[in-house]
Amino acid sequence: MWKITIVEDDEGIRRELKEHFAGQGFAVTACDAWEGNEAIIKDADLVLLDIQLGVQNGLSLCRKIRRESAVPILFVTCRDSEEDELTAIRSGGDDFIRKPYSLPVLTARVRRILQRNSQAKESITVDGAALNLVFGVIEFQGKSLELSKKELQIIYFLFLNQGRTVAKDELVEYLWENKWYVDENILNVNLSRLRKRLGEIGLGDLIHTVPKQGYRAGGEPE
Amino acid sequence: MNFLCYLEEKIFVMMGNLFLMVLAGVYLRACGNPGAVIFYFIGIWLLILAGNLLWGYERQRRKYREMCRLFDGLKEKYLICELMGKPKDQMEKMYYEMVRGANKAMAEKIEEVQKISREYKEYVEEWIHEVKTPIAAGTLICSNHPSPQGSRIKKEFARIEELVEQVLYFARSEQVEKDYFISECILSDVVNPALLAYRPYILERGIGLRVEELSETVYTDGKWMRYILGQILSNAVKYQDKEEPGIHIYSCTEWGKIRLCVEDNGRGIPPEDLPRIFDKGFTGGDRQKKGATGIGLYLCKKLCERLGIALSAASKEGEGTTVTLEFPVGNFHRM
Repeated sequence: MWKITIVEDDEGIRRELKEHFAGQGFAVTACDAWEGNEAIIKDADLVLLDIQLGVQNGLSLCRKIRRESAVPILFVTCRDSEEDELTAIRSGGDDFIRKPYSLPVLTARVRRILQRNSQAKESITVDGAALNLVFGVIEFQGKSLELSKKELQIIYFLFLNQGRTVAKDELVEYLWENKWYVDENILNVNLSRLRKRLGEIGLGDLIHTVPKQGYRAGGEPE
Repeated sequence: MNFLCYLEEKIFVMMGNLFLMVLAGVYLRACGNPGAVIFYFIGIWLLILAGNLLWGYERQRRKYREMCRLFDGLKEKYLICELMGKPKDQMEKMYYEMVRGANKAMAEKIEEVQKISREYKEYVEEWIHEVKTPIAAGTLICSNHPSPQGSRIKKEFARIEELVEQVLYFARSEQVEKDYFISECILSDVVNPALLAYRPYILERGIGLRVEELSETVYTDGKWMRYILGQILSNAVKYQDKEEPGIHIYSCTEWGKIRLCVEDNGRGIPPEDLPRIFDKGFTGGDRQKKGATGIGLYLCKKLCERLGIALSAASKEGEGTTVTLEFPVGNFHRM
């Protein structure tokens, strides 16, 4: 289980983020400062850091963390100045997201960073199916299938969220973020075609449809 | 400045001279000088006087012309003092000092006003960043507890967010200082965030969205562009009345200029309204009901002007509208 630490001074946001990530199957701790929380920040797999922390500046906190740990840091901010963004990256941040962000996008980014930092860098495996991100190929029991860029995007997002049901809208939002402007109908058409193609290598039931909720890859059928 | 005006200014000198001439003539005559001598005497006097006046006129005319040339050629008129050169006589010196003093007082006044407006803008920016936190928190609460009411509230939050952004960009557009950040952007990277922000509206209205490759590189400020495109998209969504609504976003290069076009097949703009859509407070005939503020497009125009982008709209009533952004060529705007 991934451990995330949220450093945020606004209580409302802290609570909601905590609730959200806990619901997504993360082990979440939350705090509002570096002092007294060094251990939980250093030990996390990822830190969500607010750039403005009351009296304390998130950027200087980031430098403090960097002196002692290489934990991935994702900055969250209300500001929209390019300077802040550049300083954030320069002080050792890994990514940057602006408020008000959408939760699916935030979650996808968190998972992407965690994925990137974990052992397998170019492939993810779900139910024995290995998705190779570099070549855009999915392999299963010695057989492989080449995926189009769009198919790769769909499977990648489902694999990032393996074992969890992804709402249709969440998937649509993720695809829009990656410049594929689909609506639900087009998505459905693409999914059924993708399923048929996956069937050719025996992965016909890799993507489950959860009625009225969305899609899921991996995990036990409910 | 002409010769007659100059003579008018010198009228007392001339009158005095003439009076003295008459006195001297009468005196010389009384002393028994012959008429010819007096005639020569007065003639020489007159010549000297005329010479003096002409020389004085020429000198003043030159000075006057030089000043006019300097003043007309000057972009910042208030800097004239620095170029005037040293004053020569007492009168000039006095005027010179007065202009300098007036300039200084004005500069202080302007500085004061600028300071107030700068502080106000800083406060607005700060306040906007503050207010975004509760908006974000509210949106998160709605996302964490999905319900029909929640999604309605979320929409209201999105609307608040939009209005708050409007204030921010209004404050920015009025400012003389440069607070944008020109960088190299690929068009699709600028268009994407704006589309993402309006995704719920586009999908909700079932609008067919067609977005071309948009691989051109432009030099502009990403966040300003995002706001401008957001406004344009919002209008394209808002004024839709077709069975099969559609928005088409494409780019083209003409004469070396890169154009980004947002085309919709909505209800269009009546020809008589078209020239006025970028005016402040203009909402058109029936647009009042739609909650139009008449600020959105006006702000777009202003922000575009500051970024050096030509913003224009073409429309056929009942058939649709195309808004075009024309990006500047070359690198001169990167200064």
